[in-house]
Order: sequence, then C-alpha cells, then structure tokens
Amino acid sequence: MKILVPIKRVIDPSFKVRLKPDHSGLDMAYMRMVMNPYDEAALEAALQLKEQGLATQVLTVSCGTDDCLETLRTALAMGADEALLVEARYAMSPLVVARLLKAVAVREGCGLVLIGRQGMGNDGNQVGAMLAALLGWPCLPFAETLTIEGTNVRTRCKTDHGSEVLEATLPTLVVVEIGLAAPRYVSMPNLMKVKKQKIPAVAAETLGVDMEMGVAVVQLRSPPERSRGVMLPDAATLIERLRTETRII
Amino acid sequence: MAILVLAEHVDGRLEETTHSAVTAARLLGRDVHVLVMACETQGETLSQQAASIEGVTRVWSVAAPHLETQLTEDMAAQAQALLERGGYRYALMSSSYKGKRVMPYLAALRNTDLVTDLTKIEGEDTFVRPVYAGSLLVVERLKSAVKLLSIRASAFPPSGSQTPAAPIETWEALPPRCAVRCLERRRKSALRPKLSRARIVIGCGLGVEKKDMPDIEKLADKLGAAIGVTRAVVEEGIATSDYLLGQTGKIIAPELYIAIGISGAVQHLAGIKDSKVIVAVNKDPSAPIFQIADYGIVGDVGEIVPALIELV
Ligand SMILES: Cc1cc2nc3c(=O)[nH]c(=O)nc-3n(C[C@H](O)[C@H](O)[C@H](O)COP(=O)(O)OP(=O)(O)OC[C@H]3O[C@@H](n4cnc5c(N)ncnc54)[C@H](O)[C@@H]3O)c2cc1C
Repeated sequence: MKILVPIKRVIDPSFKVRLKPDHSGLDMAYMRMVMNPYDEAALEAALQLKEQGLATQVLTVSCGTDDCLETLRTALAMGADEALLVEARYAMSPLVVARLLKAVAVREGCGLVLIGRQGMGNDGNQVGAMLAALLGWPCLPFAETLTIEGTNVRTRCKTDHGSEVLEATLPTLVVVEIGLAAPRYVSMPNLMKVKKQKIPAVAAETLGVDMEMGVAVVQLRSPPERSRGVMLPDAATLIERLRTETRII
Repeated sequence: MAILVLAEHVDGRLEETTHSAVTAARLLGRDVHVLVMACETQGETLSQQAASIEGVTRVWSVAAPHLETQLTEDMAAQAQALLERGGYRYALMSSSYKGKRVMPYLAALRNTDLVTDLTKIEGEDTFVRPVYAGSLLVVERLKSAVKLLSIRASAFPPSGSQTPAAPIETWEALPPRCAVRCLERRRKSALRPKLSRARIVIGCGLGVEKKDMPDIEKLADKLGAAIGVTRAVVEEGIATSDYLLGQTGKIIAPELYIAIGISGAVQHLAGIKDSKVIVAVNKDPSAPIFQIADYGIVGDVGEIVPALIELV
C-alpha cells in the first residue's frame, strides 16, 4: 500500500510574523521556512507504518512554487520514498488544494492519506476533511493514535469532550494531531544524500481539476494589541487589586 | 432567504456553542433555522431546547439511531440534503472539533470554499478570522451563493431564550453512511467546570511541576476555576491533551486567566489572548507572557500559589 502525505511549507512557528509597513502582505525578510509541524507528525507516522511492514511506499506531495522543493527534500531525508511537486505560482484556496491532492491520490493509487490537521499560519483546518469528502473515503479526524490491522485503520480521535476510538476500512484518510508521532531527527548525511535527487514536478493546471477559487483574501490586518499591564510585588497585592479593580473574585 | 445553524449537543443538552452560532446567524439575517441531528431518544428534547433560543424561527429535527455517534459523513450528508432543498444563504456551526470536521466536509460535498473560525462579520460576504496563531487577522470574501462558515464561539456571546418557542418540523434521516465505526467514547473527568464555560481558568506551564499540582487544584477549587495546560505540560505527560489551551487545543475567553509558570509562546497565547483579565506568575521577569498580562508577579510557583490559596 502506498501512503500519501501532503506537505505544506510554512513559516517557522517560532518566528514572529509581521505585516509589511504598507500592509500589502507579510514581511518575509528574515523568515525561515520549515515543513508544517502537523505534516511532519503525519510523515513520521507514515514512515513508522512502513517500517512495521504495513505500507510499501510513502509519497510526499507539496502544492506551491518550486521553493517547496526544499521542504520535499527534507521529507526525502526523513525517509519518504518519493516526492512530487504540484507546481502553482500563486496561493490556492483549501478546496483547490484538496482537488489537486485528490487527483494525485487517484493517479498514484494511494490507499491511505495521512494529513496534518492544519497548516501552521493559515490555521484553516480544512483540507483534510475536504479531501476525504472528495475522495469519498472515511475521514478519521484529529487522530492521536493510529494502528492498522489487516484492512482496518483504528485511531483515537480528539473530541470536544475527550476522545473517541474510530475505525474504518481502507482506503481511508486520517487527519493527524501534532502528538501522533514525534518526528525523527534529519541527519546531515541523509540531507546530503538527497541533495542532488531530482524531484518530479507537474503543473497544477495539467491535473485536470477546477482551479477556480471560492474565497479571496481582501486584506491582512494586525489585531488590536493587548497592552502591557502592571507588575505587582506579591500575592496579597494581586488579590487586593483583583477584588477592587476587576471584581471577578 | 434563511440561515441554517447546525446544532451541537452532548448528553442530551445543546452546547452553548450552538447559542453562539445563533448569535452570529442573527447578524446575517432574520430567518434563523437550526438543524438538530440526534438519536431518537434525545431528538425531541434537543429540538425543544433549540426552538427556545432567542431569534430561532424554525427547527429541523432529524432523529435516527445512527446519529447518536455524530459521525462526520452522516452529519454532512444530512445538512447537504437540507441545503439542497433550497432557501438558504448561509450554513454555519461553531469551530469546535465537531465543526472543524463537519463544515469542511460539507463544503467539499457542495464544491465550495468556506471561511473557518471567523471572529467578526464585516459584511454579507466578508469575514475576519485570526491567522498565525492570532498574530494577524485576515479578511476574506466568499463567493458561493450559499456561504458556509464556522464561527469562533468565544467571539459571539450566546443568545438567550425566547417564548413562545419556534415551530419544530421533522425531517427524514438519510440511511447511515457506515464509513466509520465508533468503538468507544471517553469523556474527560467532569470534576471541575468545563474549560469552555469557566469564568476563571488557571493555566499551568512547565514551571508547574507535578508536586505543585495538588496546590493548583486546591486554588482552582477555591476559585471555582477550570484548569488548562500548555503543550509542554502535555508533552511531559503531566496532563492529557484534553486540557490543552492554544492553537492546537482549546480557545477560551474567560473573565480571568491566571497563567502560572507559562512562558507565553504565540501558540499558547492563541488560546487565551481574548480573556478579559490576564494574570501571569513567572520567575523570569523577561518572560513574554508579561507583555500581555494585566497583572504580573515575578516569583516562584512554590511560593506564590500557596500564598494565593491562603488569601482567597
Ligand atoms: C505546531 C505547534 C503547535 C503548538 N500548539 C501549542 C498549543 O496549542 N498550546 C501550547 O501551549 N503550546 C503549543 N505549542 C508549543 C509552544 O510553542 C511552547 O513550546 C509552549 O507553549 C511552552 O509551554 P510552557 O510555557 O509551559 O513552557 P516553557 O516555554 O518552557 O516555559 C516555562 C516557563 O515557566 C517558568 N518557570 C519555570 N520554573 C518556574 C517556577 N518554579 N516558578 C515560576 N515560573 C517558573 C519559566 O521561566 C518559563 O517562562 C505548539 C508548538 C508548535 C510547534
């Protein structure tokens, strides 16, 4: 079985994002780009399934500009068997990305999709569930554990009040929580090994999907900042101030 | 043209997120319908609860045994059937875990994009939502004729109640999809007030060690507070992710948030930034949490927490 792991290239979550002075977009100066941490967890889970003999191939795919090749290369260095770039020069809506991923999953004959629950930054939480719906595959959302027995995929999934154990029959899509698998360290020798590896690319327009976007970004804004409050010397002063100024306690 | 709200419920009670979704719906128009999908034993009471929410004009009640498990595929197909009937301009739900799986699935069934986790409605097709863990806001415009949305419940105060209640109509359940089987459900212990509802929440970070937890619980009990934690605490195995606050966990807006031993990473702040009052206790005076706290104390957990217990 071939596992598809979609990978998004995102701004390193430890960097503080800012708007350009004219608010026309993000100030990308000094930003470092990394693999979306949620997708990293998904890739690690896929690699572990392969090591357990439960999958034969791990295919990673990224939709975007050729900057994504660097991220895909990291995926290869982690141990992915194949990488594919679906090339597009502009940011696509979640539904368009889901359509492209569906085309890849079908074309490549994948039997399982492991996908991070959200792209760090855009924080949309959309593509996974959309892709499941488009493929007509069961959706196992917010998985914190994952086991496969025969053709049964079983996950413990986060819910609003705790968790539930869900099971589905392959082919299936699993939306991955950050805690599902701690990604392995990418060693320098492994990175060197894949440095020259050619990564195939297909133009998004050639996959035969509708590229029409149903949502448009009108503007980016900075939220109102919370202002810094006061420092207090001790617990007694804190309780006193909370009682008199906020009346919450 | 009407607005359809997908109801959320647990243990035979509507969740407050549904009341918040109704509030958002009322900002979009006057004809607000609520779709209640439940098992047969709960359908009627839940529908009555929905009909009594202020501003609701009609309740669609769909009851069938398989709806007990609230699976994505069944809920989305059922909502899609109702939308296909026509007459709706919007369909919305809160961006809870349930909303995060059902709404995008429904959007793909309808072949439309959607806006998730919005915090503000700026116009009939224009919505604001936080991105980059709340560091920025993006304004998005939706093109589709029927617009699908999920709303951040803490940004919309829950609607009150009304008499007389709105009319309830039953709508036929579709056959179960049977794509996913639910084998077990685990609820986190309900000893304390729920994180999403508590007036006061104590957040524990890595600065709180396991030995400090009894004191934290004592303080929480005295304040009637819920307890939440950071990702680092979950990774240490001190708490499960049920209690996680932040980008990957719960997003809350209590009246008072007390951050104890928390550094203040953006991913954590994403979940608590909208609290009315924020208190931070940290031994490091340069901890970023102090930049957004209304009241800060530089001090050790082991000293400040016992002192607080004595004082409240
Ligand atoms: C993809 C992704 C998603 C994430 N999602 C989340 C999320 O949803 N929620 C979340 O919380 N984090 C999340 N994180 C992690 C986040 O970046 C931080 O690592 C985390 O919030 C730090 O937790 P902390 O403040 O408890 O620990 P630390 O950053 O280690 O801070 C501990 C603090 O305790 C103080 N301290 C230590 N000892 C004492 C003492 N005795 N008395 C007083 N103070 C003391 C220290 O000065 C320090 O400031 C995410 C990260 C990534 C990459």
